[in-house]
Amino acid sequence: MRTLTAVWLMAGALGGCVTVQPWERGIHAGPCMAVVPDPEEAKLEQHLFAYREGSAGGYGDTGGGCGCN
Amino acid sequence: MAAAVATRIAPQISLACALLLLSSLAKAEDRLQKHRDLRRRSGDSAESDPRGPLGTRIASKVAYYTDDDGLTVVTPIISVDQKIFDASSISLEYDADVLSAATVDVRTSATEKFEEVRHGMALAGTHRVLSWQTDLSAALSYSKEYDYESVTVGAGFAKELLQKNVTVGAGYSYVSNRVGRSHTPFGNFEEHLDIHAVNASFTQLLSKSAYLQLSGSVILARGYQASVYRYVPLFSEGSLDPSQLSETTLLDGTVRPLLRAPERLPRSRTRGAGVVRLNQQFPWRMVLAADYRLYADSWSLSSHTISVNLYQPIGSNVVLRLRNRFYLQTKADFYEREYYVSNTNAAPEFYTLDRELSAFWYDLVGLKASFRLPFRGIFERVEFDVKADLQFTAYSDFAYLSERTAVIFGGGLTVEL
Repeated sequence: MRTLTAVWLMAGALGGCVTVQPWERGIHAGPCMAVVPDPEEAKLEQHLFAYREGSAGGYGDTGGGCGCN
Repeated sequence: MAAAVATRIAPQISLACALLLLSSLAKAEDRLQKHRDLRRRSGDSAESDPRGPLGTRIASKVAYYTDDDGLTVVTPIISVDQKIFDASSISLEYDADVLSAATVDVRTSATEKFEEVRHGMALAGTHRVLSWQTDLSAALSYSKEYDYESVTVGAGFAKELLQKNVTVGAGYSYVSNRVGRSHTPFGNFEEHLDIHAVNASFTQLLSKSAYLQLSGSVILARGYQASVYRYVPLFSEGSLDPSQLSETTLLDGTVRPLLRAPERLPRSRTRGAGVVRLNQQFPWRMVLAADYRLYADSWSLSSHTISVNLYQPIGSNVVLRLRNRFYLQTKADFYEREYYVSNTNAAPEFYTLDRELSAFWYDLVGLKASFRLPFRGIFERVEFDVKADLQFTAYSDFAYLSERTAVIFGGGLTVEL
């Protein structure tokens, strides 16, 4: 947990170091660069992984909502 | 009399409907043309805005999962997302699981193959507060099986900072689960599980073609977390050669437990997960999307997940995705391959037959192709996709199953208007 906190703080510090101007963000607008390019597929997969893993969380999921156990 | 009047006015009604439809299509075409002109003037790429001029997105998918352990699941999903005014949107979604299982869980309980269907509905809305550069969101969902009911409510925000170079977000969800038992009214058997989940994320642009995202979750689960159908064989101390224990020897009576007791798990579980994600575009428009997740919980179960996706656009209408997901987990602290008791009244505090609480790893490889179809008119985008995944799982500490191979096929259609 300490490692994760350190990574968070380091990434926070990056915020002051990098500035990408609005007209330089064309690549970021592409569909393959989206955090979740296909929301429906992502939802189906989170459901599948809830069946198949002992873990939950980190991707916006809650680890509940069905009798998957 | 009424029939005669209806017959007389039917042609007029038909004509009025046709004119209304033509007028609507003409307006839609007009809005589409204005939308395209606006994009052309602003030098925007066709891919930068995922919605069309009408602000409607309709997506449907279906996934088919089958494995060599006797489980088959068909999962359809359909969602409709509509932009309202310029700053808000609302979405409605339906999904289902049609499940057919004769897995090792079922076989070792000496019960028959079973089938069940889960239905889920979700309603979600987002609103952008322009003056704060903040998106607010809220969601409500309901899921029902014949022996399980679940309601989820959630809300969150995402705020852009530092000239939109940084986005921070957070959200909270509450899940109320009602657990029942097959062929038993909820009044005769009912358990509850409450889940509180807090998620946070931090996204930072690193360059014109890369960004980093950190996200994390803390999940508190309180209540019934076992399976009502899972009975754990408890063996008399010294009565068993562990190497003999398998699905076959348990079912044919070669090994005999002292008793089979309903699974017992702790009623409280605190779970934490952190994810580091990097997205980077390379030459030839190839995009690498990779993430690593570290997970740990109060049952001493921890896991590592590494996911790598490679996207390669081909021309302007085809995108290929090659991916790999590797997952490795340790066992929960109370999990044992076999449980021993000195007598029927001396069962351990917790015991389970859940292989997802044992130590295992899996690797999933997959290929997906998305095709943008050349429809015109009121369609802004029509996309069709197909995929195939192969998953291999190895259980190092589960007596009744050592490995499992699964295939997952999927396909979908997305339309934007």
